[in-house]
Amino acid sequence: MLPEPTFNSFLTIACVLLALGAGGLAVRRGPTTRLLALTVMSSAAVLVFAGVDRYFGTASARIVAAFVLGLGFVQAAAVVAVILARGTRDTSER
Amino acid sequence: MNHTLFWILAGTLLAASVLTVTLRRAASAVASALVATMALAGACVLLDAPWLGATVVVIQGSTVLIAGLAAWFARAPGAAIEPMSWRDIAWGSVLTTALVIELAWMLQRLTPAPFAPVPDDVGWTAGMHTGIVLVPLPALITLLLGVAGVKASRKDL
Repeated sequence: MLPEPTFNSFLTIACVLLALGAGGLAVRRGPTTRLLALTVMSSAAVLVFAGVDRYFGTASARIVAAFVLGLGFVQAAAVVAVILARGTRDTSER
Repeated sequence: MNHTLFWILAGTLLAASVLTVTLRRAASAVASALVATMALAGACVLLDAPWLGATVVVIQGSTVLIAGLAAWFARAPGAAIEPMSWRDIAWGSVLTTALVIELAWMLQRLTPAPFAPVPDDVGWTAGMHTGIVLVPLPALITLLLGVAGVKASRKDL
């Protein structure tokens, strides 16, 4: 039988995810992989916020989590815009 | 909360995150990130936050798909598209089936929206309809950023 997850379990999983994302962000070079590493880091944040709501009986942390997700989405949009702009410029200069 | 299910989802989240960061092929990394997103959404539903789970699916899923779009645009010009192998098709089928099952499981647990009902005789007031404004806001920002990117790439600007 697997143990009951405690708040410490959430913090541990989130720490591992955050370290993974930070490592990916530092080591990888491609824009896509860096974006995905950022997504992994925001997953860690969402997990912590959901755990806070569950174990401390609040309901406000999930709203912050939604904003964190929105921030990641806007970052992704900005990266795609930059890639699009670079690609268009490369094509026009050829 | 089902402990076994939670640990399965947590293990899936960790394993898929490791694959997301380590895989070199962009399409495989995006597929792993989608799996991680769904595992996170399932964990949120297990933690009695089904609406946060739905938000994770919609927003983070879109983020991952946008990252896939970035990979598509960033590919070398004139590069040949890699043909799909039978192994890719088999993995894709298994993942799609698992994701559809999990989505159905999540939809079963969605309770009615936790927003106060809006009276019929009240018009547009500050603080009301916040959800209606917040949901399309990232889409609008994306559109504006995309237009700004294309505009900035033109030489006559």
